[in-house]
Amino acid sequence: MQKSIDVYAYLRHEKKFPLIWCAGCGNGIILGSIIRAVDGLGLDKNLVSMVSGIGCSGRTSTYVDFNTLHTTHGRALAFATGVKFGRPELTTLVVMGDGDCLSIGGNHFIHAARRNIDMTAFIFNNNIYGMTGGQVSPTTPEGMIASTASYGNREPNFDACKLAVAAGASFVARGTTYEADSLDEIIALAIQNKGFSVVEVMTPCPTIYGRYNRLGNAVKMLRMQLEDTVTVEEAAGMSPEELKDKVVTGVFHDAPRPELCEEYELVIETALKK
Amino acid sequence: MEAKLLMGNEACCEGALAVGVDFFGGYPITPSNEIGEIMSRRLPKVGGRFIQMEDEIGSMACIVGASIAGRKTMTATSGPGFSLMQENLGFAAMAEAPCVIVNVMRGGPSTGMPTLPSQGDVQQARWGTHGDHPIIALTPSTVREVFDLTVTSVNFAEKYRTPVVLLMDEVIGHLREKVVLPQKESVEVVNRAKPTCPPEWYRPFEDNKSGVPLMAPFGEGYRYHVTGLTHDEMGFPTTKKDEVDALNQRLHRKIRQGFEEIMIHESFLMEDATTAIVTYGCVVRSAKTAVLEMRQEGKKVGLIKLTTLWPFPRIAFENLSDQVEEIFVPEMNMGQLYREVVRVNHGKRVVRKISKVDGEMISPEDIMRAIKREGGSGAKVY
Amino acid sequence: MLSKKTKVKYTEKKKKSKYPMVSFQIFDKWCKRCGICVDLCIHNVFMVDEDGYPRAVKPVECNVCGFCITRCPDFALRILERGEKNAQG
Repeated sequence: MQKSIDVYAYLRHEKKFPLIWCAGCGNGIILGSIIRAVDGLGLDKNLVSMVSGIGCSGRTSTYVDFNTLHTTHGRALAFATGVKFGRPELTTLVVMGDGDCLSIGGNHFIHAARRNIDMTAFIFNNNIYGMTGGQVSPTTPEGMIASTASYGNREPNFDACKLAVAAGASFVARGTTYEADSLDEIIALAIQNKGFSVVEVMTPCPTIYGRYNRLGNAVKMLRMQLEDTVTVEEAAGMSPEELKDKVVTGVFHDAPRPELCEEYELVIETALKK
Repeated sequence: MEAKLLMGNEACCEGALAVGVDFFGGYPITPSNEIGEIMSRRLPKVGGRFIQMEDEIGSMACIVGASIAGRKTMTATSGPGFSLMQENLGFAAMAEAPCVIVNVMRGGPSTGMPTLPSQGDVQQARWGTHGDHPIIALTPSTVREVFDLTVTSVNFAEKYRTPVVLLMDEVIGHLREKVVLPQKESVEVVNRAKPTCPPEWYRPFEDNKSGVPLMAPFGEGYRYHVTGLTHDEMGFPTTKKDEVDALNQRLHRKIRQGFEEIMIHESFLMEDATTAIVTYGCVVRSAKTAVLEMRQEGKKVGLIKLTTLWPFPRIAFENLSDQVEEIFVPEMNMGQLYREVVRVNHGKRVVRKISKVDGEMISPEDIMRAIKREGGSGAKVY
Repeated sequence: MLSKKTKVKYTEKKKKSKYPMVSFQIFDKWCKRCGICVDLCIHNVFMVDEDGYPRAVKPVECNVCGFCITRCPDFALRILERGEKNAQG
């Protein structure tokens, strides 16, 4: 059991702690998983860059001792494209919230997936805009309450993973903060994938989403993740009716294909011949 | 070097490559397309990288990201794209990421006239992004100058760690001229100052005499935090008023300290002039002809060419002789720089604007008729 | 709620355990008292003290599964195996 020991070597613990997030927010759990995955893969901290957007998830980059870039709302993937394409030896991790990635950053998301640029995009999905006070997000399930959907959300929500697969991401998976151990493994696989990897993580927001929708405290919301999730394998044998209110977790798509930075080497080769 | 027939947009690429730009992120938009096209062909041959992004927001973000990763970066666009870039242009100012944005100005507002010239983005270049920030904007009036100013823009960006806007207009972008480009070796190249201290001593946004912190690229052992939030010397978000004030003051100070070097302007036949024409970009070409023709008629007219638009080169007016009574500011907008000229003259001289917004370049005749109050031209004097 | 008295009683109890002896380090400055470690530990190692902070009252019951550490959102919890120094994180 060495899990607790290594994490601190990756944190800017002398500078920026305690974390800005509310009590029981799952973002810290995901950060822990990312760190353990990076540690497990033995990556050099100097060659890891973390790019984040705006919102609760955006603050993730502040706390971790990599080359960190906290960018503008929704643009994390575009900035990360510059970082990665400019210096391909960097392992690039992109941390975004659900609104950040799927609403304002939706265009960057589908195009990063289409290019299959080698980076790992994390979507911290708490079903709501937490930092700004609980507005409805593209992943708020129908019928749920948000500060801008006081009478219940009537818009259908995105399935980020299906979107990513359709747009061309070469590795797509979903995990939950409750299953942090399997999340470590999923993240390690995602980072190892040479191409655009998407890891959507369901994370509880007890302070805002939980309070609006009377879902209970952090512990209850974590337990709910356990009850509401089924694995990809289990889901395969279930009917659509049974799957209706379930969150499916696991690796959905793992199909490596040519990666942008490597392909550009071919462009350079061709250009030099002409 | 032999003479070449080059288009303004082509000269821009030549300048960028000569000064070592090795990353270009862009999105197609008329009339700046040639820049992206040429860069996509030339960059891979010299170890550079070209990427066509999904939109101008992404273009700007990606060149800032690449700049932080250690590349010399550039993008090119026009009015509508420039509007989209404003958000991350502000980020570049805050995070002090060197980068150059070429804006080949076209007719506006909105989609306007994609293939016709204007000078409508002058104030947007200064105040387009939110918040109080310094910026450098340069504007060329000949094809050769496009080359030189592209070099200067990149050098200013690297030296002052700031975004620099190169404001071309459609006339200059698509103008073909005979030019002799300098030898590559004779082009001055400025590279950003990098830290040499051990990584644990590195304070990424520490003030110094120049006000420009040393910049470590990602991936070279200096792990640090870059954010668009107001930050302290270590790059971490802060709201402490002394740290906030220090950052905002330094951002302005670093440019202010370079005013002498940055405020580029030229005078033409101003020694005995009683009337001055102050202009920039393609209108300089017409103004020069107008000055020469009016001189032949015996009128003492001179020209002040503003090469730098922002920070506004007020030093061009500080030593202006008292015999200059009247200043005309011809521009292809409704007087965006005119108000700056009024401001720096403190009411000492009569300043009049000559505006033309019909999608045609201001001609020498336009300027002469306006100055002589003859009327009957597309340009109006106010 | 756990009074200081009971806390002493539990920790003093020396019970043979088949698991390695561990001690817990809880950073009160970082802890936000969300209760995840207390409620989710299947061995009930933790209880909350008067101020709401978790305290490891039955470390002997701990089988070092690490569940509490990986689910602590604030990195405020650390398990130290016997012999390890109690270094401040």
